[in-house]
Amino acid sequence: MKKIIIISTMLAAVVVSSCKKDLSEVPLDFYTPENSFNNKAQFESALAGIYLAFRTDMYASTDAAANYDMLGMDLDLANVESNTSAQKTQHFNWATMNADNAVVLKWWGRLYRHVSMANTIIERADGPQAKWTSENEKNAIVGEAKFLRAFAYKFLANMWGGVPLVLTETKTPTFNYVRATQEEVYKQCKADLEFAIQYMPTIDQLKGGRAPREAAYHLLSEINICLKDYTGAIAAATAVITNGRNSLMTARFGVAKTFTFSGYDYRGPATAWGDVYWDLFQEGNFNFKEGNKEAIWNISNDPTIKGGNNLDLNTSGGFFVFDRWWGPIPWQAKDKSVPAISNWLMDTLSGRPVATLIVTAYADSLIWKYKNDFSKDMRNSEFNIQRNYYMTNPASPIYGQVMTKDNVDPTTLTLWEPRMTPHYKKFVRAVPKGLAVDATSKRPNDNGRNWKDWYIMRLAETYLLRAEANLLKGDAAAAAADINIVRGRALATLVDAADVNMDLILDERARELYGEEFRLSTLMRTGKLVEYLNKYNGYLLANGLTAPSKVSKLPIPRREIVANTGAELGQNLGY
Amino acid sequence: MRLDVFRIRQGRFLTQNRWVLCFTVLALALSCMTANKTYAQEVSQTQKQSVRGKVTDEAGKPLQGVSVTVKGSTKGVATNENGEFSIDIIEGAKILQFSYVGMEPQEVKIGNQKELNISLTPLATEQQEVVVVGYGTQKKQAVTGAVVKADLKTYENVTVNNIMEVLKGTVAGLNVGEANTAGGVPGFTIRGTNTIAATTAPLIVLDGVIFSGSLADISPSDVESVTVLKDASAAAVYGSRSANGVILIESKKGTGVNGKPKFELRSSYGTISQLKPLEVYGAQGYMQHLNDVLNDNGTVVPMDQTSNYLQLNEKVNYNATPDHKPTLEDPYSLFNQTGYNFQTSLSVSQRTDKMSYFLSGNYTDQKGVIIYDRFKHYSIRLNLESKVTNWLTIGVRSFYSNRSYPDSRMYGVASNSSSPYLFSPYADVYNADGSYNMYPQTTTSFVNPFSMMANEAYNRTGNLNGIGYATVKIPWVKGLSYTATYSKTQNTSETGSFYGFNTNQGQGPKGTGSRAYSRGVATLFDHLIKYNRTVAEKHNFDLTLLHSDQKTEAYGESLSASGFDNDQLGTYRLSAGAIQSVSTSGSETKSIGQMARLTYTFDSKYSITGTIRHDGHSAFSNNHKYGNFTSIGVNWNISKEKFMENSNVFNSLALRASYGTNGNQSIAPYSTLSKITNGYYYYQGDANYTYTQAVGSLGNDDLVWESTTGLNFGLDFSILKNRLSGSIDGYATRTNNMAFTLDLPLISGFPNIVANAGEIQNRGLEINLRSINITNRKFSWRSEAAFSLNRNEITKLLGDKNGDGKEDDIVSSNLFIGKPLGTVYNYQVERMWQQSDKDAATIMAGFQPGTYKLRDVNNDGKITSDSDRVFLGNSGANFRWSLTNTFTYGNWSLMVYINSIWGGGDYFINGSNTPWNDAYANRGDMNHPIYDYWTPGNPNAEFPRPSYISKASVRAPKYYDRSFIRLQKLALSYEATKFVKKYGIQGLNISLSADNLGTYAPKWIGLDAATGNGLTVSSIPSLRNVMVNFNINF
Repeated sequence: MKKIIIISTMLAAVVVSSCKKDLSEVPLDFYTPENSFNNKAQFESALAGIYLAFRTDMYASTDAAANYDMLGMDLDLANVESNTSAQKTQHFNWATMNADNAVVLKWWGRLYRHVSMANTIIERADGPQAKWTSENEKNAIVGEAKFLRAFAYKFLANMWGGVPLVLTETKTPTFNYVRATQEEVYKQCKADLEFAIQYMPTIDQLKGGRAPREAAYHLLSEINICLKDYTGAIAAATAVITNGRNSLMTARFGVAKTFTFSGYDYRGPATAWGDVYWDLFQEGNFNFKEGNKEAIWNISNDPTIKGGNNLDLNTSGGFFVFDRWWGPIPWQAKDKSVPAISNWLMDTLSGRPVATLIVTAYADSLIWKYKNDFSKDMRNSEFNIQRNYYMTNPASPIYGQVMTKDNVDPTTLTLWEPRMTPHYKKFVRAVPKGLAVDATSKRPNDNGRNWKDWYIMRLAETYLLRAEANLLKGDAAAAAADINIVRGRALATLVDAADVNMDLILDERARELYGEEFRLSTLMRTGKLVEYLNKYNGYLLANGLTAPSKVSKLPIPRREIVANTGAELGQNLGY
Repeated sequence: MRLDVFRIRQGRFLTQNRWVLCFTVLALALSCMTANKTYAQEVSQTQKQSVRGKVTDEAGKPLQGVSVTVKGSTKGVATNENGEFSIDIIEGAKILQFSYVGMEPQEVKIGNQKELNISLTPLATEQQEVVVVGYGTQKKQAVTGAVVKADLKTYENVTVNNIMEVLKGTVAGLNVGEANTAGGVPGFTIRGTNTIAATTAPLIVLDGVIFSGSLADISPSDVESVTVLKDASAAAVYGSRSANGVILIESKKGTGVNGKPKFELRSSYGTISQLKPLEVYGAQGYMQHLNDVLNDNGTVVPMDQTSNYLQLNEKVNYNATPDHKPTLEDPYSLFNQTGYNFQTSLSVSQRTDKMSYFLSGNYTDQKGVIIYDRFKHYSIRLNLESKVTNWLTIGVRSFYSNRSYPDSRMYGVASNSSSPYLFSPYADVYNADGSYNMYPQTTTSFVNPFSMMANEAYNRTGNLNGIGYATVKIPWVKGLSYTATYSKTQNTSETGSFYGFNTNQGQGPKGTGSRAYSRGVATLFDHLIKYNRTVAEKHNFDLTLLHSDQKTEAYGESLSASGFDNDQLGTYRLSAGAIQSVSTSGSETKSIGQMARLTYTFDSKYSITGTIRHDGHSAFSNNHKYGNFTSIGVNWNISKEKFMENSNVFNSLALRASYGTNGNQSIAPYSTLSKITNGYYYYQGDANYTYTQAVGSLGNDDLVWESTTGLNFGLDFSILKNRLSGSIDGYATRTNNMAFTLDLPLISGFPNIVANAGEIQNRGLEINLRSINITNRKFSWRSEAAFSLNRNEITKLLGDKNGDGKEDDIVSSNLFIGKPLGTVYNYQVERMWQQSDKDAATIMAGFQPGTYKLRDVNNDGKITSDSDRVFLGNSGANFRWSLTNTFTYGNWSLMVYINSIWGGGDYFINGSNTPWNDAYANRGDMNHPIYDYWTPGNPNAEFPRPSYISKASVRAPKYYDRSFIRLQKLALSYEATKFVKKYGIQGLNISLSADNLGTYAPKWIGLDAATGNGLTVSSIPSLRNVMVNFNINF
């Protein structure tokens, strides 16, 4: 009997344990999409994920000049300099651009990544697991995601033309993408933005770093121009301009209103310093919340706060470091005494640039000579662009004097241009030495890497978009009026209808939005890229090269054509 | 102050698991019960009659240790060294049983005889041998696959560091690498490489349970047998994880004669030394090298002014004495130590007809040849089995092992910048206060390796393994049994290190330390039903059915901190650090397997085995959670055929053939799931950050595991009265569905996904031979030889993407269609460019005298990567062979083991020994291993000028053939039992063993062809153990 019991028990155990077990995997130390898109807080996290991706990709991915390649680098605004010899280098390889270009692949991948993140939000918001307290709550999230998607597709359509239009979350490997037309992409942007405008909160309701409804209108204005709907473009821009909340700043404001400084020679008594344009670029002044009525949408950089950016400034630069990569290197210059004495770094208003990006002749002088405004235009004031560099080392016989080719050590001359190139002060943060603290050592950081918030969209650009729409619609007078609002604030000579053409608008953008607008996208949208490269690009001019007409659109990366095995992804003309 | 900083704190062993305690208590209780019973029976027996005698083998040689028992009782004795026995038998006893390993058991009627002289015959043929196969044993006749039982007897009296040392060279097709650190376990693979991304490690099965741990956990003296399953048919019982072959290890069971306990003590001690030290420049050579480097870089300096270019510290020391006596005679010797190797194990085992046990403890303490290299290991094992009733057997196999390694080694710490080879002869090792000088020769590029060593560092690994089983012989059905096996293994790993204020790593962050603890728990529950039945005498059916459940869990925690006010408490008080961080992890997998194996044997002549395994694994993708693996094999025992009966040559001859498919569990847990990645974003004006999320990777529902399908033909033979026996196997396998990273269009938002693509083929030949060359009363000579070769070839990769109608190579990953893995595709070095080439203006642009002249394949006058690289050969071996000879003369025995890997053709080449590779060659501020570099005065040098990297626009290493023949092991042992017999000791063996005694590597330059270490600063010396071994049992 005992045998039977024991044996039956054991056999029963076999039978029981033989039942099919559930082999599904339960993750323990990471989240999955299934449990991450269930409520408003999680969707907010996903939106913040896109903002983080934007900030990283557009401004702060590495401690390198390449962060700023959409903002004018190796275009008409800034040349790429070699650090050790006065030699211009190229970033995009415009003359030999092909489908294997790494910069092209980088942006293609990044923008589609943004699209993919937005698609996940839009699709999962209607998914069975998403719990919403109201339809409006959901629509506010979806609206913001659609705005962000349109923002990414704008770049794709401007820079590549018709691209694959992916509007749903990719959940399984897909290899059969086909290109939509450029117009279809713009139309999708328009539809997304029209939805977004209904539900996105206005700028007065938001924290800094987040896109408000005004940003959607601003973007819609640009999209409508692309769709040749100039009336729609004017209406969208007007919706921002007349919203009663935004206006151009015309008087000194904010944290540095009372800033005093003894001048770039560091001699004499400190006196009042700056103007309203300079105030626009002082950290603490970028946000609408901070009293800046001109702000529409910024990125937020606060490395001393978790989530504000890379915390370890010392080893990796905090990443948003315009002031290091874009500017002159006068502190390397030496005087003529024997042995030669170095200038030194008084970084109160100079940061510590290393002259990787230096201004082109176009941005140095051509744009400022317009209407003989060189010394009149506020944006070219000594507060905003420094052109003279002084010996600031008291030990030097030329202490306090402007350094010229005659009073410096001959070795300084070999790098004269990068050392003495004009310095756009909007990149620099007016801070005392040692502002940053290294996260590891907790010691003050002198490495010249500082940070500030930065504009993605600013009302001045809204006016210039409306001017463009007015011009293209045929109303040059209205265009001139819009341009004059921007020029008027800068105390520049006003233009009249006869002055207005696309070049003026692009010049005005360069004057007003240098280092802010996505210049590459603008030049490609307006069809001016090839012309401007061949007129102003430092590398092409220095080497006698020509940008071919095919670069008016970027190539579809070869990697994509090869990987897309299920369908043919047509290449752009000429590649 | 100097050395006591580097104290390595040993941890305490804590048993955390109740279940091991339970096993132990249960085991002890059982052993008490059964033991008492046995003694009680013995006492009640009366003694009436005595029989004496002698047992010999066929040749008349006395056999020692033959078990002589009275049939039907537990009464028994063993023969002495003269083969003699004497046994008291009770009245009515009729039969004596004689049994001995490797001999046919004999039963002899006693009758009235007082003296019995018995001659035992060896087991009829090897075909009768029982072979351990997966989930049970089979008669060799029924084995259809390539199964090799390793010969552990050769190493019986020789201490080895791990079981792989024994297997190395004895099993053809099992490739064992080299270990050159204390406690290191060599890598090993079976047959050819059949994967690119997945593991090549064979599955290890310990006592029938899939083993999760390191081979270093298993003490060699606890091992009873090792069997290697090489082909698909043999390994098929383990289904989805057996594609790399299987190694079955059985631990020792209770033994002993006559129910008496047997004690065994094995101890060995010896030295570990460097096979060949890498020499660095002494004072004179250093100055010459500095001068050459200066000249080479364009600063022409007369030799007598070279000292001006020494660094500050060096210059002071150089000028301190008139004859410029170096501060360090041999800088490298600072880092050497005399290693030692101490191992001891003590076991007690006993076997009665009701129960058996084996209890052992092992301890190893090794010191490597480079300072701080230290290894300690201890383990305890208890194996216990009890026949509870005649139909129920229960048992337990359990062990605990703890290994301790240094966490901070002189090599591998930070980077090569701390390599001991870089010390200048004029360096200041210490500061005036006796502390280590962080920059011993002024340059900050070279940090004193001593100041990169942790103040405190540990790395301890534990393995707690318990297997409980119960076997029921179903009483109503003959040949039917059921076994349940439950096993739990816990692996733990503890690492920690602390770098104080005076260390290079700790000075900036004010002390930095970390502790990590991780543990893995593997639980396995197997149900096994076996049925063996012979019908009509000639038809044997052997059926095995298995259901297996397995679960593995892994958890980890790590803590780190920096910014200390006081660095004295180290990792014991990480909480005092100003900056602290914590990370934790967890994962789980579940597997289910069902297996059926049926073997049919007709008349001991023909066998056929079919196996099917159905495997499910949680880490597999959603659409492919389960898979089936099948195989079939046949064995034809030709020697049983009528026409062979009268053969004078063949004692046995059998042919085997098998075909089947195995899998490689190449998919990591959770790797097919879509994952969320997280971060932080701060909106200006918010009180706090917002946690961010994004889908970071794409789920993959269609990924399947790699599978290998193989065909194996084998021949087993024994000829000339069993003088020569062996086996020959030939195989061909094809692995497909290899896991590859496949580019996705970035349009999807994701860069790539792991997909199945590609195919590799392997073919090979393996020969194992054993011969008895001479055997007589005094002297015997036995040989064992193994030979293997493997050819592998990539036949498919990602397809034809460039549209030329052929499969594409993946040049960036060094994968070429039609070529083997490990193909060397690089520039061919033809000779050295010389000054005369420059003078004649025939030197290629971009090159200088003293740089290698590379072959310009397309003759376009320049060297480019896409058109001037060629297939230079293969880093894989052409073939491997080994030969072990054992000579016995009286009580002396000598074992000589020779091992070789041979290249030939374009095989087995390596270029990483080229000294310019390590970038320090062209630095005058650091020392360097001595090598023959080009200077204008030394135009025929082997290697290029020190500034090769900057003086040649395109560079390539020279490749060298690694072929070698090595005297791998030599052991001389002496059987000294006769001297100690009178003290009741059953056996005493003393031996002297040494390994790596000599190597013939005609083409290799540098340290050791076997490890591939050449002349670069990252080369680690190989080790030589010379040991004295004692082996006593009583």
